[in-house]
Amino acid sequence: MSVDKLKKDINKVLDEALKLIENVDNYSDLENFKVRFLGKKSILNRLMKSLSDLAPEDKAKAGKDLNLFKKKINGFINDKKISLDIIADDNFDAFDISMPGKLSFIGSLHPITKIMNEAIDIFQSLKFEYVDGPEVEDEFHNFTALNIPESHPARAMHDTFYLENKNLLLRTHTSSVQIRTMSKKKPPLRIIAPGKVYRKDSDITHTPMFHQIEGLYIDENISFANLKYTINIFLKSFFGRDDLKIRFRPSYFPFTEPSAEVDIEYIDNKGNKKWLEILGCGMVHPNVLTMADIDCKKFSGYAFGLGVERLAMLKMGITDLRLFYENDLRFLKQFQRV
Amino acid sequence: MKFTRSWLEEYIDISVSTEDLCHQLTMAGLEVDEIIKIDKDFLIDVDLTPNRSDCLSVYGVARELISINKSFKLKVNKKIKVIPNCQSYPIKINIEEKTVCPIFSYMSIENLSPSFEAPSYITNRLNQIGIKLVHPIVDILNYIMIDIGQPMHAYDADMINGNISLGFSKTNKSFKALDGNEYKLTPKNFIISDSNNILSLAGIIGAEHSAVSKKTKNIIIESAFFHPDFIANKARDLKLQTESSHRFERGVDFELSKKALSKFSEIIYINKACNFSEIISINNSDYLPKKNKVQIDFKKINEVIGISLKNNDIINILQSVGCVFNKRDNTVINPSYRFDLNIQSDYIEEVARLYGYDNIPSNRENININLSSKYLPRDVVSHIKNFLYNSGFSECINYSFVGENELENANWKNENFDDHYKILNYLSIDQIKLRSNLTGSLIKNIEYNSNVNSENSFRFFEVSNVYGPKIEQILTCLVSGERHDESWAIKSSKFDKYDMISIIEDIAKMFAIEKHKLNYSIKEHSFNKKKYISLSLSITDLVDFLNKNKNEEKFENYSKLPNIRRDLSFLIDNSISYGSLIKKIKEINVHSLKKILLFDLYVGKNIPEDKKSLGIGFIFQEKDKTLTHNEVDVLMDFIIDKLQEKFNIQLRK
Repeated sequence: MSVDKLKKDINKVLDEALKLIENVDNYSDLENFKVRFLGKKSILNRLMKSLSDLAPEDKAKAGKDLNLFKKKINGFINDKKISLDIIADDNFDAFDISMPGKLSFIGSLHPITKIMNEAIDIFQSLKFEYVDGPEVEDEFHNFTALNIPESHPARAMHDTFYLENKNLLLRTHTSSVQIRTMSKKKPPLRIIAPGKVYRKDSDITHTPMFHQIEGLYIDENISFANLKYTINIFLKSFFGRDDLKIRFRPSYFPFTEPSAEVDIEYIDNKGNKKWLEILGCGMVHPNVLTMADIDCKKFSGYAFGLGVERLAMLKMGITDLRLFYENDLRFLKQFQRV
Repeated sequence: MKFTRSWLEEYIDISVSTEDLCHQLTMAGLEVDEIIKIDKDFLIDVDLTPNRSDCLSVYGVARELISINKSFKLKVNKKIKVIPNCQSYPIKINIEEKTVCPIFSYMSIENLSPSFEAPSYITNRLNQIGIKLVHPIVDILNYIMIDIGQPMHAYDADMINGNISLGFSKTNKSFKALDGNEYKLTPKNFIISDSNNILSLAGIIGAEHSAVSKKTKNIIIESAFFHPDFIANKARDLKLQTESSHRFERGVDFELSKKALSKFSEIIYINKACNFSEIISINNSDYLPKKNKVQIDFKKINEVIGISLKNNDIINILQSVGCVFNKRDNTVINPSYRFDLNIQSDYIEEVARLYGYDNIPSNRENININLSSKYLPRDVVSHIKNFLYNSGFSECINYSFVGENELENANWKNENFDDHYKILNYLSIDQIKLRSNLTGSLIKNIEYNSNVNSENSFRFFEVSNVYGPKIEQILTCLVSGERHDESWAIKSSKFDKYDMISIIEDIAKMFAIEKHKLNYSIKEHSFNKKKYISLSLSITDLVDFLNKNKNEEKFENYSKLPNIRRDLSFLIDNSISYGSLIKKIKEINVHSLKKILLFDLYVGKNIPEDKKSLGIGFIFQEKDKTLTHNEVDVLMDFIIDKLQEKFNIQLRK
């Protein structure tokens, strides 16, 4: 056997291998291919054995050729494996795309945070400015300046948490931020103030701490019709439904007049259409403006207050209010989406 | 306020379905909570707002319906002529405070038969709306109260001694009420008494002693007007609420005082229950609440609502709720039953309400606001929350108040302090003060979860205000147990404090602040045999710092020349901190040293006890020339010399 002959043989086998590998479409055929060209009884082995027949100077040359051949065959196999891996066949000992990843690095944001962010983003797009106010308040900002008289039931000890010896209380609504803002800035004012509020109440439908988002807009010629527009556009964007049915119903709050409660229509689990109260709002009471040193003849405005828990329950289908503050991972981990 | 449809139909003809009727009430601000079908009738429960005391009666609701919808018409009920057949009980009434009680009407009845029963339509209706039957006369009084809105009281005339006086309680006497409870009075309580006893707490509840019973024969019926300002909160202060106090503190129409007694006479007369006297009424009209005359600005009303009603339409609406409008000077006067109509805004509300909120358009406003720059605290908190979320932390929100336990004895920096924000009227003993740290709450969260979940790797965080010596907003991250959730690919390992250093370093990078400028602390806690590691960071201080040091994100040209790395392993005294080592290396001031990194730390076997082995990588690079290996070797030797000199390091191979 000569070196040339060997080279010819190799090329012939390579041609054959090239044809065969093209038709391989699964891992077991690929395995057969491997055995045929590289295995113990393979052509390669046969050719290797024939090396001993060669003259020593030819041996090295032929050895190189054979190694090249082996590399090429291996190259065929690897290329094919990659293309088969992409098709992913579980029968083959290779990358298993169905395996779990090594580690997950996703935690969760509290549903209250997520709902607040959604609402705040909408209000910011409506040009409301974000402001903060203290949770520990005084009677003036939480009650008096909001036209809530001394005799109002909310001022009683059984509704409001008071602090020891400090003449302070925990704010019962974010409306106190209205007063803080009006004392610092003059109209036009267009703000939202989200945050924690506290009421002395604890049962299935009340937690002593909950969250609100307050909105306030004061300028010249602001009307109830404007309030309706803002609330309508907010609710429709928040629930992502242009056909959301919304109704404004007369109500009473000391710090707004006219006042309204806003209901949205929803379908309960029995399939009945029902109205559900979602927020309170109204035109800022002239007494509130006057107390804040704003000319109520020149300026008017509207205010609204949203319950964040209520929004979250409705949007996320949470039925038990108390879940928000148990911080049970089985609850929290359900809010992994961005 | 509960009533039945048939009761309402005594006053008006209703041609619409109950559903439709209730919808109209709701949309006018009288929210119907519930409709319950009973036989052929409907029980309707209206959730009244506190300003609408005029609707605390069936008649009041009927009157309201007529102003809501003109198709409802008031029925005319025949007047019955009654003839009193006994003398009034000879008694003198002395009203000490006429402002509190401008009108006091009363009458008496005699020889009530023990077998007398209230007419069945009365007892049935009271039963339907859930008012307990007590005594036939009291039942009739309760019926009249629900029917037209006047609370009244029945005194056993034989239990009254001497004259009656009305005034503020002069002593802190206690008072036994007819509900069987003892109440401690204060000089703020307005009482009705005879020469010996308190007969009643005016407008709230009568005394047990003078209450009517089965044996009572002679009765005095009181029907007064008490000013809401003096009744408000008095019942609540005594932890008490009655149908009477509910009405008086919101305002009762003072024109009802005599009407209610006439109605009572009629019922007594028709049912031949007993003898009854004429009605005596003490009326100090100067002391009655003043009716308010309010100037109406039609333009303003339209502007505030955002509609364009004609003046006459507005006048019609105001007249429909019983107001008197004077066209000469455009003023309006409220009816005696509307305590809530005092200023123009109150009338704007009436116009909006009766025009219909649904009919008011929805108009976009011309926003005339210059937005100031972004609000920093919210942005900072948002970024940090999202970063932690992407690092596998779960956010918790806990109540701001906590109990008196060991976790709450210090603020988040572990400083002890005394001046806690304590809640005066706390709900439960685990909510007595505002928390000064978040670690305690988060430890409880992990404890809770390790009891209910099978997991053993916990990464929690919370952002909230804390109330220590300073009120500030902080972030606390708390971890416990395994560093990672169980994984097939990663060997299990426990959290340690260094994990928290990575977090604080990443936060520092997010805001381009050097780590040491952050106000933070990393601590290990052990509680109920479990170890926890916390990281707390003052968000308030971070925001302050960012506000004072605003720096824009700027691009800096970087060297495209290759860099050379040299690794060095050496032993160094355990007591020398990594920070002081790095500080020293930086002080050596080798210009081309661009980066230092720690790739290994080892203590334990094969190393002296007081030593640690560090592996440090040095990366060299110049901006304008390619460094040679020889140049770098010289620099490394220089650094090694300095370190040996300063820290006595021993090189390892």
